[in-house]
Amino acid sequence: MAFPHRPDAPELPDFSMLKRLARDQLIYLLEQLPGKKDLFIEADLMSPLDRIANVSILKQHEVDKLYKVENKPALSSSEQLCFLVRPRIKNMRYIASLVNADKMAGRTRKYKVIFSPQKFYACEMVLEEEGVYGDVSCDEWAFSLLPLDVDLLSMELPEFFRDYFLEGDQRWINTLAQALHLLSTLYGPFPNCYGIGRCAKMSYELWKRLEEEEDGETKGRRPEIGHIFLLDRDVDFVTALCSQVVYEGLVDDTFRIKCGSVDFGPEVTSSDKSLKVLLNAEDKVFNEIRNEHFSNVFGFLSQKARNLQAQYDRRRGMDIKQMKNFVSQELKGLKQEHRLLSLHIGACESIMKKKTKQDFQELIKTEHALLEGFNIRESTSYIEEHIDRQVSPIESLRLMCLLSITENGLIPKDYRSLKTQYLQSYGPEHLLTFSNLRRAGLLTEQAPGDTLTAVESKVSKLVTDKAAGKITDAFSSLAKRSNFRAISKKLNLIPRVDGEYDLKVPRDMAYVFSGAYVPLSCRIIEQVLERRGWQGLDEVVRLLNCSELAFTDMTKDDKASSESLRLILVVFLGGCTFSEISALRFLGRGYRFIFLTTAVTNSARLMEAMSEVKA
Amino acid sequence: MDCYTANWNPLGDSAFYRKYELYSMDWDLKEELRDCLVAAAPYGGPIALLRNPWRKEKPASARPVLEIYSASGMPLASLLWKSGPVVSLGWSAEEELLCVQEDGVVLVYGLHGDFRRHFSMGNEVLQNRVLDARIFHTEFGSGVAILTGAHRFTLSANVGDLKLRRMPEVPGLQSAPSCWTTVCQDRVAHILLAVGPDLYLLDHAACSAVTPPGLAPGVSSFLQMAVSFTYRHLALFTDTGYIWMGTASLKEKLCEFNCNIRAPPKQMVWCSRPRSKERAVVVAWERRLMVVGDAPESIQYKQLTIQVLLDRLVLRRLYPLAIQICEYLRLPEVQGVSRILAHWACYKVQQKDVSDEDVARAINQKLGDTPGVSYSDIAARAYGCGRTELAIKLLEYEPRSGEQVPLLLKMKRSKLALSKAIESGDTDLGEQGLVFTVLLHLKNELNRGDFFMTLRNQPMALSLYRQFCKHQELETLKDLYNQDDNHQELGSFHIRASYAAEERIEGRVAALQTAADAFYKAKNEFAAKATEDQMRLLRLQRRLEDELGGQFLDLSLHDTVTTLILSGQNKRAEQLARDFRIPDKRLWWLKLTALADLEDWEELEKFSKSKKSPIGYLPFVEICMKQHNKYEAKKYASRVGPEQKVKALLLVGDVAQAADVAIEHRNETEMSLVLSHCTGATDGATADKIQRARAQAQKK
Repeated sequence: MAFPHRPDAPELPDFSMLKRLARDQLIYLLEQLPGKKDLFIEADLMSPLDRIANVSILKQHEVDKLYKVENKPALSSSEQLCFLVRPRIKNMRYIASLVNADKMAGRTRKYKVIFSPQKFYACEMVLEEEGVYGDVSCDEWAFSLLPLDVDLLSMELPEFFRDYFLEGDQRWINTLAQALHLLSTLYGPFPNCYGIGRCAKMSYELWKRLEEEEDGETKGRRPEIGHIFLLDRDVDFVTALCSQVVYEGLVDDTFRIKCGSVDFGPEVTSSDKSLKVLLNAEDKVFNEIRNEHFSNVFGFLSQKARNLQAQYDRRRGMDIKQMKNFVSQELKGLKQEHRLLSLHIGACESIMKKKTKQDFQELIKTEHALLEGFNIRESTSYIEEHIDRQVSPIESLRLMCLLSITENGLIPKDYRSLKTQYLQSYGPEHLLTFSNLRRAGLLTEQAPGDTLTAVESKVSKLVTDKAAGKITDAFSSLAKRSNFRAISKKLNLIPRVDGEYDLKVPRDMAYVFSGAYVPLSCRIIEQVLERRGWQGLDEVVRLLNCSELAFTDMTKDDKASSESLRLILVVFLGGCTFSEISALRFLGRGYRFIFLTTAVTNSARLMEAMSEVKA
Repeated sequence: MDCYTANWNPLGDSAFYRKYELYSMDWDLKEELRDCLVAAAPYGGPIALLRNPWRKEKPASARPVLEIYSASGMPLASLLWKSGPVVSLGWSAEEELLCVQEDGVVLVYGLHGDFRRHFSMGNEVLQNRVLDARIFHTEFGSGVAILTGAHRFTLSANVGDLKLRRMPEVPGLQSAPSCWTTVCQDRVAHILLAVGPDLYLLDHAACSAVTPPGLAPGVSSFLQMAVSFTYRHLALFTDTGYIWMGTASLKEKLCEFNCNIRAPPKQMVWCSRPRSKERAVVVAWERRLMVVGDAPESIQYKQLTIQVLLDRLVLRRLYPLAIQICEYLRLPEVQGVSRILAHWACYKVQQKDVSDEDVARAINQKLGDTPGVSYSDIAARAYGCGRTELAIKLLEYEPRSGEQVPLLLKMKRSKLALSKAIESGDTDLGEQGLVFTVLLHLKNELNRGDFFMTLRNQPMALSLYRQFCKHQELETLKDLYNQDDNHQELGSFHIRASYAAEERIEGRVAALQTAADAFYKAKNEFAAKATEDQMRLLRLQRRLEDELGGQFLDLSLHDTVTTLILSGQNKRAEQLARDFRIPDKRLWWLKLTALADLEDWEELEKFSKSKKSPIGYLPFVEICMKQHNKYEAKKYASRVGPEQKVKALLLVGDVAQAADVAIEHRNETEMSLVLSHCTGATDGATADKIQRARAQAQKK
């Protein structure tokens, strides 16, 4: 299982170097404040920090006590305070209030703020406005790439999505360009670059400029990774909005994987304790099921359990010597496997329980109907009932968005009534949520001209694609539209079903959505790699509203080994889902994918980023 | 052979010297050198002459002329001195001529007599006038030391980075010292001065008396002193005609010599050939020259580096020669050709008789995109010469738009600066700072309206500023939206205020009213109506809290009705549902859930019979089963419509009857569904029944 890589599949580069670099830099920064100090850490940075430097390393460098940055007065009695924070204005205000409180009390201490991954001018400005700029020293911890797994690098910047795609704030682009620059200095230049989306284009251009400025640093280096592909999240919202059904995605949707690990509650561990479990390739059991469709996982695990039992059973009939051997060499491994196995079985049971309660089948059926574009009325009623029954505010919102994107916006009547129902169920503050969603293009109303969609789709069946393209052109001048239906047709995203889709032996990437839908993002990547560029995809690019925003940049590099030319770094700007990762891992075809994402995301995280919640 | 040695003269016992002319001076001097202030630049640099009309014995007549010659006497510049009386001239290491005026103002000229800048040596100097001044060189640059009329010293160790240092008072100093000089020790400039038989060393903190080791007795005054170019050595000439030579640190004596001439020498300097280990002091009187040497000791002279040589050529405007040298030496472009071209361009922009267009074009033609050339630096020079338009034209050639910004701001072209800062694309630390800096400039420069208007045309800057305001200046954010007539955002702003900023119910309702008005203006009727509904709901919730107690505020409409039902207020619940036009379906879901939660089965049954359920009866079955009440569930299962009958029967566990219905419906899906529920031995018969029905159906 777990699609074994072809025997000639290229080796992955060693990304642990990134961790070492980050750790050394952090230690250097801590040493800049000699002597004992208390360290205040922003909650969001705790898990990433933990992956880089544990408490004992911090203690070695004279960190005395650790505090979480929260809006409470500091109890620290240390003479030196060090803050490790994201560059957020609210943190600055917190630090300023702390410094000012000390001043009022006539107390002088040393303060150092370490921004990760970089500082922003606005932050310094706030410190200045609050009158403490001279009292604190500012530094940067350029830690922007956390290797979560052998093939997954995360910037751990979930706010990237909202900042860029909702607020239009471009400041993280530099962070990204710097991260790419770091990768090319460590792993050589990328001979083939592709990308789509405005953010992708800007990041790419800035990155290239950085390389030019530091001219020559990567020149002459042997490329280790042959291709890089940058993709904006808004090129494909649909995939990210779907319920996940491959194991890793489902675990993320159900329990929320945070920074590569998950907290399994008592219902999973079948004890009274919660357990924090690291989920990556090192967990042998997990590694075999992570990319599997959920329907196979249980069978696999029970088979595994039987095998394990058989191995235990070998004990019977062993003589003393054999037994000694068994205990010293195999037992530990078996026990470890046993522990992991029972954890994942527990997780499966818990998922099953939750999903049956929510009538998961019904939900998936509706999603598939939306993706394929049939029974729209029925799906709309389903969503309405979902809202009326207050099933879940985030889920309801997700379904509304999925309906909107697949249908090029809701018809005005539905747009009003669904929103009204939603406000009645979940509270009036969501008026702002809707305003956000509209701005991001996730939940829109069909413009008057768009009511022709139905006609248009019929027309497109009758006339050649070219003519339909022209009609669509005329409409797209009215508003930026998702054109999902047309794209889906062009790229064959809905596989023709003849007979049952055997999820045990996946045919294509659609298996990550039970054979109903090939993730758009992954299909685009597949097509571009196959064509070595965007040739022949003009129509798709136009439908994606990315006419000026799709690019290819190939440099002939004789030094690139054939091995490296089969490694592809895919960069998701605004987050990628585990389903997409699984789909591309499956795609393989002698290629091997490496993922870089601003953060791992899923439908709930996307919706939460857009939601307005009362403080 | 004796022709080689004929012109060599003995010097002491073991050394010889000769005199010969290297070249003859080309100049045609009108003045006697003795009447002039003279300054020769180090390393064979230019010579400046200024006839000194301010000497007391000669009355001021016509304005003097400042003349600059090359080392070989080629005239480089000649200009009429229009400024005040000059006390001293000197060349800086960068070959700039420093003219120290009596009032402490120092005027700086270029090699070609072009005025560069001026600076003052401070108020104390201005008040007490300059008695004497020296220009000296250290590794940090060129400095100026001043002796004022009040016999105090002021110095600046580097005129490029002017920091004035007033030296401490010398105790008991009533008249000018007989001689003084600057020395440099431990990278700090000091002053060594002689007062009668005493020597003092002044540093910025203290004045200390010093004694040269091994000084012959009987000295009642020092007439002249000289330090070597490297500040390592010092020579003292006393009124006894005695010369002391030693280290400048005064720790060691090298040699001494008694020349028996008691007249004060006009000049005394250290001299030495490059790489020579021999050092000597040359002492000059009116008609006599004496060379005093000593035993060999190693001295290293700093060589003129190729960079300095190039600089010199550039200063002399010998650009083509400099470029040829660069090319010959294959210097990297950035250090060589580019740098020289940049210098040339900076010179070019000063040609006032050439039009802006021509200068800009000429510069661009020659420079193109040569690496290492900064157009913004050249533009800054143009601006410095008062050619703003030329500067803007030159900036256009600067490929890094971020580099254009600081100068544009300086030239008060803030709006242009803003678009350039944004064009630079990256909103990273530096560049985002750039946009921010420009924004702050603009904010201060423009009135609020114009500022907002400018922002409106720059979406990226606007969003940056908006983000900032959202966290730091909420009121400004509101003004921004107001200015923009962005009623939609304004509405959202007030909605947020209604639950984030306001606490009193009146304040919240008022905020909502403002929001609703804004939404109407934005032609967003949906949002306006929803907001008005919320105002009504808030008031009502407040009343409910007053009358019934409990928590109602901030509940959604749905939760408000549910809460009323749960607390037995059915009438009020229904009234609310009517008032807010809650659709029937929702109301049925809501009541069903609430009554089941209360386990009020009687009321639930009454409700189910109140009229035909708009959501069918399957939800009743489901909810009863959820509360584990099979008895009640069965009641409703019988009322479920045919389409969902099988599901309902399966829910209540009646597999046999479910099978009958499925068979009756001849529905394959339903039959499989029932089959999947046939577990255990008890359902064996039912399973068989379905299989038979299936087989029969297939036969047909």
